[in-house]
Amino acid sequence: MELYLQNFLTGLGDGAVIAGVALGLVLAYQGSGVLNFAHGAMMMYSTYIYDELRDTGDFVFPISILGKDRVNLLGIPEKGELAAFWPSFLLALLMAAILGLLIHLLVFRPLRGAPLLAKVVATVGVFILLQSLVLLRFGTANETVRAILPTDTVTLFGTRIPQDRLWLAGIVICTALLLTLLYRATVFGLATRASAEEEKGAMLLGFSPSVLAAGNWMLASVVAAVFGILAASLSNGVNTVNYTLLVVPALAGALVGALRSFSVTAATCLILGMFRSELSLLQIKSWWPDFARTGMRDVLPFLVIVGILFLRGKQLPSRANLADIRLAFAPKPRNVFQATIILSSLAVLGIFFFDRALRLSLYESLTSTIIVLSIVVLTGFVGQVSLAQAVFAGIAGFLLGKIALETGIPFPISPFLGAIGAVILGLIVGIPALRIRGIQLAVVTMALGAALGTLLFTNRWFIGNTGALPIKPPDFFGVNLAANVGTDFNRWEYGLMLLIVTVFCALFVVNIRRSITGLRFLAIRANERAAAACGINGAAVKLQAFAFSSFLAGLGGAMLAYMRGQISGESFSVFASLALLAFAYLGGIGSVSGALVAGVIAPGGLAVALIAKGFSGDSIGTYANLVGGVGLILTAIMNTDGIAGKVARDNQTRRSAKSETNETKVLV
Amino acid sequence: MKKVLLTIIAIFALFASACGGSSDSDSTASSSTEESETESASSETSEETAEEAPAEEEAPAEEEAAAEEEAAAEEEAPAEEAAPVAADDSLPPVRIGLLNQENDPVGSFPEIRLGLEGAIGYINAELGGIGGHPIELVSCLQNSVPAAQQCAQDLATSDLISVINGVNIWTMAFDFYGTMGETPVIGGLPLFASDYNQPNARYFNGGSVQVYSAAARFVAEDLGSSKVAVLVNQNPAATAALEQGLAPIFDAYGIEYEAIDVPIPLTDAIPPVSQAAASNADLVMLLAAGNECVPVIRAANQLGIAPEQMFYSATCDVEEIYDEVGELMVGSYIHKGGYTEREVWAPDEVLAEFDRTDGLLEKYSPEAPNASFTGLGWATMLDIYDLYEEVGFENLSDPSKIIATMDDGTTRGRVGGFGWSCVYADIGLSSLCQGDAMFLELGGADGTTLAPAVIGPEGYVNGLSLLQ
Repeated sequence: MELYLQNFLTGLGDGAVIAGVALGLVLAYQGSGVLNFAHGAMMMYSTYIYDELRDTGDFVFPISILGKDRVNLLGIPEKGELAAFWPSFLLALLMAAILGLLIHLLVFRPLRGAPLLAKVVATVGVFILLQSLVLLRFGTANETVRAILPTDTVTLFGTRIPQDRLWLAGIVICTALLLTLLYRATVFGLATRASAEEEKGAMLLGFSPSVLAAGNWMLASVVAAVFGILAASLSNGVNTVNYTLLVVPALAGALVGALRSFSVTAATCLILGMFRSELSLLQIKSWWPDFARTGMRDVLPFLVIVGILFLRGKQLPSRANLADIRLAFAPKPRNVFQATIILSSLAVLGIFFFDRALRLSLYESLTSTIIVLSIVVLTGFVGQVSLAQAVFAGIAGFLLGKIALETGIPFPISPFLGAIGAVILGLIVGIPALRIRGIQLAVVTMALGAALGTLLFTNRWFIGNTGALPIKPPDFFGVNLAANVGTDFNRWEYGLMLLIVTVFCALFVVNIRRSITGLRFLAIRANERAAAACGINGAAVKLQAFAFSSFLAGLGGAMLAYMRGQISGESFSVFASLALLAFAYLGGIGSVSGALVAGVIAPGGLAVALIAKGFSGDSIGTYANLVGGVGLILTAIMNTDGIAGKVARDNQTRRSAKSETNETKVLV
Repeated sequence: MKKVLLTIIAIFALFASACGGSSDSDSTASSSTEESETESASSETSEETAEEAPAEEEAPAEEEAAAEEEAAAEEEAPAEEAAPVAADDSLPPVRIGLLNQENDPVGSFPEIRLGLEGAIGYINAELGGIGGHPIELVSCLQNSVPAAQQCAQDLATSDLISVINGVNIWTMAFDFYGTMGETPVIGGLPLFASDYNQPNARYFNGGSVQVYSAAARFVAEDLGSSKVAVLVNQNPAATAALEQGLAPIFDAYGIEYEAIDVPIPLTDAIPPVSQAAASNADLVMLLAAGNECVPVIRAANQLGIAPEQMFYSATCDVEEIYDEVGELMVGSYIHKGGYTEREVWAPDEVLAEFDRTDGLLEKYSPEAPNASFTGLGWATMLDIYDLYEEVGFENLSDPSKIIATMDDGTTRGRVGGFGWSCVYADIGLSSLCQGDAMFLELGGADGTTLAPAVIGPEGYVNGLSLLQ
C-alpha cells in the first residue's frame, strides 16, 4: 500500500511539468484562440537556452548575427562549475517572453482571421522550426540539467517523498492562483477574458486584441519555461523530443479546465500525473492484462479528453474572431478525364524513364497522395480535423502484414482487409465527432494517435517480436508486383499497381465531390444546423466521411507497406499525422489536385528529390526542416487555400469575370 | 514520435557496446600517432639510428645485458614493425559505404562518421590501407524513412565492398537488409532485434542482448544476487534482449527478477525507482538509455537505495553524469564495453597500448568530439581493417568470403577495436559477433573504477556463451 501511495504522490512531479504546458496552452488560447501544439517545443527551446547559459555563460542566438551565433553574458564558468542560477534563469525567462512575443507577432497575429486549420498548420510549422533550431544550435544530444529545487526526502503519510515534487506541485498551484488572480482582478486579465468572449466588444472598450494576445503569448511562454527549467532535473534533462510530447496530456488538462480555468487545469494535470504514475506501477503487475503492458500512461489522457469532450464538448469555448473565417476552397472538379489521362501518362513515363532515385520519389509522392486524399475528404470536404490519419494508415499496414503472413490471404484481398480494419477504427474515432468538431476533434484524434502509437505500435503482441513486420510482396495471377526484387529497385510492376490504386482513389474522391454525398459533406462543413434543417443527417454524413477517409488512408498505408517491404511504427506517429495534415494544407486541402500537389511536396516526394539534385553534399539536409517549418508558417499566413486551391480559386475568379464580361456585352 | 523515442532509447542503451570502442579507439589512435611521429620525425633520426646500430654491434657486451637488450628489442619489435606505410593511391580503392543519420531533429549522429573518417585517414596514412589499397568511404546521410530507403538503394547499387550501418533509427521502417541484398553489412550499431539475425550482416558488437546476457551472468556468478529489479525501457530491442539474453540466465541460476518500465519521456524517475525499491531486490539494474541515468541515480539516493545495490549500464559511464551525480555512484557496479579509460589496474599490455596510441584520433579526426559514437566509428573501422587484411584484397569482392571469414574466426580486438567472434548463430544471433562485456565497481566520484577482483583475470564476462 505504501508503494502505491508513494507512486501516487510522486506523480505530482510528472503532473507539474504537464501543468506547465497546460497553463501555457490556456493562456495562449484565451489570448489568441490558438491551441498551440508547439507549446512543448517552446518549453524545450527555453530550457536549452537556460542550460547553455548555465553550462557556458553563453546566450545562443536562434540565427547567426554578423557571423556570430552566441555571446557570452555570464562569464565562463570554472571547469566543473556552472554559471550563477538567477541570472541564467531570468535571462532564459526573458528570452522565453521574447520568443512568445515573436511567435505571436510573426505567426499568429497575421493569422487572426484565418481558418482554424491554418492555425493548426502554423503551430506545426513552429514546432518543426523550433526543433530544427535546436538541432542547429545545440545538437540533439540529451542535456542534463542540475537540480534547482531541494532534493531531500520528507515523510508523508508514512512514505518518503522527494521535496522537489512537493515544491513543484506548490509552484504549480501558486502559478494557477496567480494567473486566476491576474485574469479576475487586473485590467489585462479582464480585458483578455472579454476579448476571448467577443473581440469586437473588447475593441469597443478600447482594448487591442493584438496587444492582449501578445501579453498572453509572452506569459504562456514564460510559464512553460519556468516549469521546463525547474522540472528538467526530475526527468532526463532536455532533448529535442521529451518536452514536445507533453502537449497531449497537457491538452487533456486544459480541456478539463474548459480552456479557461487555470485552477481546474492545474489540478487536473497534477491528478493526471499521479494517475499516470500509478498506472506505470499497475501495468507491470502480474495480473495486469498482457495487451496493455505498454502505453497506459498515454491512454489515460486520451480517455480523459474523449470523456470530457464527449460529455461537454458543446460547452467548451470557441473563440469568436473579429475577422470572418474563410473555409478552404473546395472546387467542383473540372476536366477530370483529360487531367486523368495527362497525369497518368506523365506518371507512366516517370515509372519507365525516371532513374531509380526519382522513381522512388515518384512512388513516395503517389502513396502520400493517397493518404492526403483521405484528409481532403474528411477535412477539406467535411471540415473534421483529424490528426490520426497516419495511425489509420499504420493500422492497415500492420493488418495487411499480419493477414498475409498468418492467414495467407493473397493480394489484393489482404490490403483491402487492412483498409477495412482502418475503416473500423475510423468509425470508432468518428463517434466523438458526432458531438464535437473543429479543434476539439483535432485534440481527440491527436490523443488517440499518441495512445495507439504506444499501445499498438510498440506492443509486441501486435507488431511482432522484432518490432517490425515483414510484408509479403504482392502477387497478382502470377505477376510479381513487388516494389523491389534483389537490386531491381522500385520496379515498374509495383509502380503501375500503385498508379492504378492512386487513380482509383483520386477518381473516388472526385466522384464524392461531384455527387450528392459531396454536397452533403460541404453542407455539414459550412453549417451543421442549416444542413440539418435541410434534412441532412449530420451524424450519418460524418461517419460516412470517416469511413471513406480511413479507407483511403488504409489503402495508402498498405501501398506504403508494400513499398517499404517491412513495416514498423516509426512511419505512423502522431507527428507524422501532423506533417501530413500540414502538407495537405500546403497543397490545397479542398481538392484532389491539392492532394496531388501535397504528394509531390511531401517528405521524400518528387519535389524534394528534384531540389536535392540541385544541391551538393548535405547542405539541403541541414536546413531542410528549418526551411520546411518556415514554409509551412508562410503558407498558413499568406495562402490559406494552399497551392492548388489558389490556382483553382484564381481560375474560378477569372472565369466568373469573363462570364460577367460576356453577360455585360450581351446586355449592352 | 513515441516509437522514435523508444528507438532513441535503444540507441543510447547500445552505447554500452560503443563505449567499449570509444576510448579504446582513442588510445589506439594515439599510439599510432606516436609511432608515426617517431618514424616520420625526420630522415636525420634514421641516419643516426643507422650509424648507431653498427656501433652497438661492434661494442663488446656482457651476456646478460645482451639478453636484456634482446628481450627489450623483441618487446619493442611490434611497435617498430608497425612503421607508417601509406596506402598506394594509384591502386583501386576499397570502397566501403556508410549509412548514417544526420541533420535530423529527432537525433543526429555525425560522431560515428567522424570517427570512421579519422580511422580511415590513419589506416591509409600509416597502416598501408588494405593490402596497399586505400580505403574510400562512401557516405549517405539520411534524416527520414524515405531518405533512409533512398540511401540504402544508392549504397546497394554503388559497387561497394560492404556497408556500415551507422546509427540509424529509420532503417527499422523498411526492409534494410533485403535492400542491401548482395552487399554485406559489416559493422555499425545493431539497434534493433531485427539486426541480430541477418544472413548478410555481421556486427563487431553485440547490441543490447550482449550487454544484458553478460550482465545477468555477472550478477549471478560474481555478485551472487538472488533477487534483481531491472529498470529498462520497454522498446522492442530491449524487450527482446531481456527475453533472449537476461531471462534465460537468471532462470538458469534461479534468480528472481522484476522488469520495471522506465517510460519515455521520463518526466519523473521516482515511480519506477520506487517500484524497484519496493521489490526488495538485492540489486537494482538500470539498463536504459543514458538520458535516464541522472534522474534514476538521484531517485535511488532519495529513496535510500544504497549505491552498492545499484548496477548501471555503460550509458551512465559519461563524464557529464559523473559531474552531476558521481558521488552518489561510488560503490555501484557499472558496465563497460572495454577499457574505456586508462584504468590504473589494467594489464601492462593494455596500458602500453594506451601509451602507444595516445593522440591518434585527435590527429586524424580533429573535428570529432570526445563522444562514444566517435569511438564506435574508430573501432569499427579498425576492426574492418583487421578483417579485410585477413580476407585479402583479392577476395573482398566476394561477400560470402567476408562473412565466412568472420564466422570462422575469433579475434580479440586490439585496444582500439572490438574484435569478433561470430559464434552465436545457434541461438538466433548470427549477426552479433561480440559477447564480451566488462563490469566494474566504481571507486571514485569521477568514474574511476576498482580492479575487477571478483571477475576473471581478463575482466570480461560473456553471457551469450552461456546461452549456446
